[in-house]
Amino acid sequence: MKKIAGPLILTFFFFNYTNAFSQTTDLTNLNLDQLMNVEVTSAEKKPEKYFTTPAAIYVITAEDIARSTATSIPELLRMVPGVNVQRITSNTWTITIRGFNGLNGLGLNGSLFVNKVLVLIDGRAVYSPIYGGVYWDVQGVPLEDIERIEVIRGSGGTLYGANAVDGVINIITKRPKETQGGFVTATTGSQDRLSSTVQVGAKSGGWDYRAYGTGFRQDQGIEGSQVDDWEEGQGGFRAEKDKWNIQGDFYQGYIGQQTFVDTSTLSSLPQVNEQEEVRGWNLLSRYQDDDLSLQAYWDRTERYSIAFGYRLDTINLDYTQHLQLTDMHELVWGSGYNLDVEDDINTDITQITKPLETNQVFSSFLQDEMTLTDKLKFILGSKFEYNIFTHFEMEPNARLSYELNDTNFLWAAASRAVRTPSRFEEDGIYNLHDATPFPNLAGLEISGSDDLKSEKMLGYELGYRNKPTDNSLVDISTFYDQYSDLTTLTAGNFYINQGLVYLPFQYVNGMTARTYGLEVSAEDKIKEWWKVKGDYTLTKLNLNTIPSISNAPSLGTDIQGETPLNAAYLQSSFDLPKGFEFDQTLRYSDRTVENQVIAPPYLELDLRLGWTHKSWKVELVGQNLLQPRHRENALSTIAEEVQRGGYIKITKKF
Amino acid sequence: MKKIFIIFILLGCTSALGNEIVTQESLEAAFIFNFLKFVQWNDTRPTYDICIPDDENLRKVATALLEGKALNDRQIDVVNRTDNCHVLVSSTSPNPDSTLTIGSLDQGAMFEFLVIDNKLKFAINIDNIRKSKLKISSQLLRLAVPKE
Repeated sequence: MKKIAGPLILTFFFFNYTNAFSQTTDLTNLNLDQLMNVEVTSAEKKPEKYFTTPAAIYVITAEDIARSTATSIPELLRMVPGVNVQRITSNTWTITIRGFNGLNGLGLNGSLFVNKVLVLIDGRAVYSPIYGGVYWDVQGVPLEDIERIEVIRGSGGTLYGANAVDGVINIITKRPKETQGGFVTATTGSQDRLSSTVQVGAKSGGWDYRAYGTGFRQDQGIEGSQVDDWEEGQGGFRAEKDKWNIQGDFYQGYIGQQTFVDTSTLSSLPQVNEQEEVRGWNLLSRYQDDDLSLQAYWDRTERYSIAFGYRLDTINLDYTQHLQLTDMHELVWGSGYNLDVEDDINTDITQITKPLETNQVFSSFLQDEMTLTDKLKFILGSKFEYNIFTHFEMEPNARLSYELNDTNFLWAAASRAVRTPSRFEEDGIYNLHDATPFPNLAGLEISGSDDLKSEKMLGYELGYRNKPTDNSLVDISTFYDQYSDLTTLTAGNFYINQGLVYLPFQYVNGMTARTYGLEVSAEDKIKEWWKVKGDYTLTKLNLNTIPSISNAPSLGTDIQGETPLNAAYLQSSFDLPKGFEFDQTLRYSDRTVENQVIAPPYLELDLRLGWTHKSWKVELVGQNLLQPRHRENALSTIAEEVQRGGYIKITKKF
Repeated sequence: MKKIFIIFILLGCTSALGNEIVTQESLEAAFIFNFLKFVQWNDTRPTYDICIPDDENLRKVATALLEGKALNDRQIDVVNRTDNCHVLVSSTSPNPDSTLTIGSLDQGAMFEFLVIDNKLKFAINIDNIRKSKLKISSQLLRLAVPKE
């Protein structure tokens, strides 16, 4: 149950709240004044447990979302320590945890396939198995409906399976009974040209439900360069009755982008502007009680670009159960089945050479959560997975935690995680007969490899949380991760065909890496009306190519790549009289490098002024105010600079 | 993260609730129990009848929390019906004039529960209260919050 709805933390510390039930205070002994100060905790929301979670976790709350300048989930994630968000174009972001932003093989298009973070929306995985990674342009959950986003840094493999190597991002929407009534929003600005969301929530026949529709049109970035404007519409619903939950979404959009195409001549530019058509839908149903959860969903994704495209149906079943064996042992186990069915995958440029109708994954996990003493807890568990590409995979983890007292908490963890090869890395062919990034060549060919093994990670973590005062919190975590069998490209022998020179590349397990880092976050409510929070992230990568396996020219030894060494975030929020709010956000990122191209360090400022009056809310937002434009990603062939901008948003509740 | 220290502040003031899970339903039931102290009914029945016809969860929780308790020498009875109630919790309120109705103010209820910043509050519709024959203490009405 907790794996899905109230994810990782709850599974870690299930025993905490089973114990809690047994020592219930009689609420009728409290008077109304006291009752009105008691915080409600619903079955899915146990925020107090985050403090004693033995993992590096950060939670973006609904309040954080309301006070942020973000209009999309990727922009929201900038506040999370350890998470690196780079905006590539107006519709593309690369988002990584603890390193590996951008650097994927040669960097050619690879930047878009950052592939070691798993993302779930209400228990539905949105990681694409075709190219590996997450398409952030089609995850348009209305921000108003998000209850919280839990970001878990470090391996989540034991609970979530393959591809949760560097972390898990859990987007959890509000329960329908919390979104009764409705609202309309309208936003217009320099980048968000026009967007609007309409939602109604009601109840009938014991069901609480909501339905929403949202649409937007985003302007292109820098004028005169690639046409990266985009527009999208999405609708959906969620309904809940007792222990049953049903929800679904559908979307369609047109995404402007620049694509390399086959020109077959050396003279013309291989990039063209195109509108990629995206559409999809999903339907999810879940039964959940205190001890078990059964979930099923069907997700359809379609993307059609000149160079890449596919239709993918995913059917997923998941069962999780908790068993309190003894006072000391709490067992969590589960089983899952995932079926991917692909179609329409070939274009002139990209093909999957071995048609594979179905791709199945069977998985099970078992975890024992042991209460050694009141203060000392130990968790041991593993995922066991079977997939058709790399067959058996195992993802164990061990976590130890020590609660010194109410204000100090220590934890340590060791875990192993894997990333299974994407469909393209196994059986794909990318064929470009005119490759400007390599001007002395005429043809570029990238092909997958059947022999590819999983990428493996062994991670070691140490964390500490402290509450200096009742109003403040400090959270520190450090990690040291060892990666082996990382996927990269190796060049084969060039050949000449019809007078043109071709250079073939193939995916190989040709890199290793050692990464270490430090993440510190702190927050303090200095006054009743003034909150400050901030975080600092150090991420050191040492990527090493194994010369006997890969000869990739752009790689070498101890490469930091496109992950900034230092990054920081600072936010201050004022609650002013008469319903006004004023928020300021500063963020800093070190320089990043790809293929010797440098994106310089940047410091940026966002400001937000909000005003709530009765059922109306007006927000004025300025974004990236310190400079007219800044570059976040060094991949100059694709990445655009991010511009200064702003928007106004009006919300009416009813 | 923010939630974490909100909880700590709470722990400071209601330490009795230390490590506990407090559901909205159990809070609502405790609120209803407290409301009874501030309202005078004219009948002389030996029970306070709390009617919760729609919300099965709340009925279960309220039954567990309130059954067996007594106030002003009256036993508390949580029942699944819509008539002859001292308190009626329902999304659609018929408005018998000697029943304290809790539901949606827009639908004619006198009281409505609201969750604000994760805490349970209540709002009142003073017109609906005046129309009834109930005597409700101003001490209770003062605790109401405005509904947006």
